[in-house]
Amino acid sequence: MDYAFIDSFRKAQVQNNWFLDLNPLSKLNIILILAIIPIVAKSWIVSVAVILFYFILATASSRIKQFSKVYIRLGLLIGSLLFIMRAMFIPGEDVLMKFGFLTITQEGVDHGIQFATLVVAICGALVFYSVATQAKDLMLALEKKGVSPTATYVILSSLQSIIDLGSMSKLIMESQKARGIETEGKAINRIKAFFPILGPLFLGAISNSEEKAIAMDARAFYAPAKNTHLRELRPVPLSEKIILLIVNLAFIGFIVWRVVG
Amino acid sequence: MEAIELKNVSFAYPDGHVANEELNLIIKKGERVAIVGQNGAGKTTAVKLMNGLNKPTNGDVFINGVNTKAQTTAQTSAYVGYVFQNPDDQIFNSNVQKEIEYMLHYLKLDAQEIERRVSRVVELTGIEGYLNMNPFDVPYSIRKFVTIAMVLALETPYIILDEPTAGQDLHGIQTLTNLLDRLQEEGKCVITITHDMEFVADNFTRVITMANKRIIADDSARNTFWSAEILKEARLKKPQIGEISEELGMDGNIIYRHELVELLNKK
Amino acid sequence: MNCISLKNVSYKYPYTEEFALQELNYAFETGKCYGIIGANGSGKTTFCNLLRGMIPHFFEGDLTGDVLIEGKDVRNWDSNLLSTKIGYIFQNPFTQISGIKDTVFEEIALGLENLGVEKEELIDRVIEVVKLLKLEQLIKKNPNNLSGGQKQRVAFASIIAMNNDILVIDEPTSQLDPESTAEIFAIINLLKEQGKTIFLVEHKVDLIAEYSDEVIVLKDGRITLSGSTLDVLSNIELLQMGVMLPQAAMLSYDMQKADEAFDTIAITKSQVIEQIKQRVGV
Repeated sequence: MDYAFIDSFRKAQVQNNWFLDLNPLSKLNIILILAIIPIVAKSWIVSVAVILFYFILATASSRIKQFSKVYIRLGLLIGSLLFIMRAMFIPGEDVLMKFGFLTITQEGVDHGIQFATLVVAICGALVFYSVATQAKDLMLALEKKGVSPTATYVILSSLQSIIDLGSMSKLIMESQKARGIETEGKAINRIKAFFPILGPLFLGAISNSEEKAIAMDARAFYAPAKNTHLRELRPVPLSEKIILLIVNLAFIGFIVWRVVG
Repeated sequence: MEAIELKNVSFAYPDGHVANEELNLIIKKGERVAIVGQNGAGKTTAVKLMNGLNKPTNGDVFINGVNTKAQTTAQTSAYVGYVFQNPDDQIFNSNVQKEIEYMLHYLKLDAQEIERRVSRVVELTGIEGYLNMNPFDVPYSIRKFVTIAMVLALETPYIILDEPTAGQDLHGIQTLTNLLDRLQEEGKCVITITHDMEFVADNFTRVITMANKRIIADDSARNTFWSAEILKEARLKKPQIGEISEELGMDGNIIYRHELVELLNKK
Repeated sequence: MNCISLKNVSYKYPYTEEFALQELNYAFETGKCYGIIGANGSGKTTFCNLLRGMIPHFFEGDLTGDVLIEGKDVRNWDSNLLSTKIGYIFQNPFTQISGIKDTVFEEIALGLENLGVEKEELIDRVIEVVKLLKLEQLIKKNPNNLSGGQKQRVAFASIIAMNNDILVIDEPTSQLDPESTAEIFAIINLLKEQGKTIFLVEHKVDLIAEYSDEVIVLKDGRITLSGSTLDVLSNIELLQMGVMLPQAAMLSYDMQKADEAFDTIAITKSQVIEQIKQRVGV
């Protein structure tokens, strides 16, 4: 038996990285600020700076691999799609190119860059938070602040259900193949095999919920006692609270400056 | 050759985890075979090699002479029907009858043929009273019979049943016994994975024992259950009648109750 | 005082005409292991839901008669307290895993967290149960990715870690091989020796014969036969109720047909061997 693993629960869960070990709510605070800055700044330069900052932060928190894997693909996909849509459809005076009825204007391109970088920057916040914080840690932090365990259960359980949908689909495809329904080869075959199953897949996930509620009741979920926790987050050090305060004040100052100025 | 053939087959998952090693096996058309072994021994992965759901990492699997690597799973499934261990992994319609008919419509069979097939399988599995119900409203053990019916309706020459006895009551076991007899009369080959040793003794003459990813024995039920080495390696026990005979010091490698009773009556 | 007593209890699920349970009368004593057997669809799982107080607190519908748990009517029990008193391991292993913990160790700890057990004691209890169920190799694994049999053992461990006085266990070995099945029954026996009251639904009558004190037979929602394990499992009428007799009992009956000197029916392996040795002199 892995006693080292068991003993890790006796102390606070730390990963020995200055950023990762910040309280999940502190991290949320910081990420929200980073997400809002480009919205308020309305400048593609600020958006790009924030995007680059996420990469730096990811490196500093040893999450660069996980972050890049998702973000680069997502960013390029969303960014290019939004850019093209704006560039082609926003009307303007300064025409750059014409393709039949599609007109690309300078205004369109400017809007495109602005909008695309903004959305990609906001996505960066989401992606980075999800690689830098585990859902279970966030839930633990929320419970400590008084959020009901039922709420955190619903969130975690929904997240798990989404993951389960993935493995369920695999199972369904296997089952379809075993019946003799062609799923291999052309994409159209795959879609035809999978489509009829979508309804039952979701219904199945929902109908499970009664049994899951009973299962949670069996684990004394609704017992009157106050919950204890096997996993503990480290207590928030004063330094963290102070830094957070400074960052928040600076952010408020920034907002005021942008709004007033 | 009309058979399922495994030649030096090994199977590992994409993540590298090896589930089966050096499987060599021939199961001929019309045979009735039980596969036994502990959970984790590799039984389910082995049978999935037979219907093309798993493709060998090494070695080859032939169904009636055709290599499964040369076909899609759906193509192999036309010859080898597989009833999953968990019926809930295989059921998607909200109505038992529709579930059974689903594939028959897909195969574009005419209405008369569909009706004939459905009647046959409903009779074989005894699920007449449940045809209009939602599969998820019926007991788990009946759902198992629904998936069996569904697979039998495809009328494949080879049929694999993965733990059909789990959770079954007396009536369910009797239905399975009758089902196996009928299928054999029809010339079908049935391969059954089960943990029920009494069921094995009562229904199968050929038993394949698996342990630690390999086939460690392929012998009659009697020889399998009376080999101390096989039982030890596979961590299995003989049917209780066998254990009783052993403790009484009876000869004859008994596995059936009537054998023991006859022997005792002579004394 | 009886652990649980039933007086004229009948129950219908919501929007149904037929009774799921009819006119149940029984007194269950503390510290005994009760085997509950019957054909599929006879009402065993509904019976479990009743004993556990899920009926009427979770399942609405029509409940008549008196269900007394430790002397108090189930309707007057706070349902949240019942979950601390009565443990429930139910049939489907796939939905018993919480889905909110990523390691087996934490999964087993969940019930104890909800009961407010202090961390040090919590860890000790989980370790104890892990060893009992031989789950040492699985403690770091994600419970959502386990096989059906592994999930069944983890679910079992998670409930017994909670150390309830009463346990309702519904087919805990359906996915397990013979060796693991024997281990589960040995653990159930251990729990009984610790003084717990156990209600066990099972099809494996050979093992019920070894470990239960009394047996209840359900058919169409009624108790059609009940009493000591020996009396019930030696009764040939079980076959009409859709239930198998233990192998030892069938052997005993066959011997009886040939030799009237076999006047009693044995229900366990050791009993029948003893019986044969005495009569036949092998």
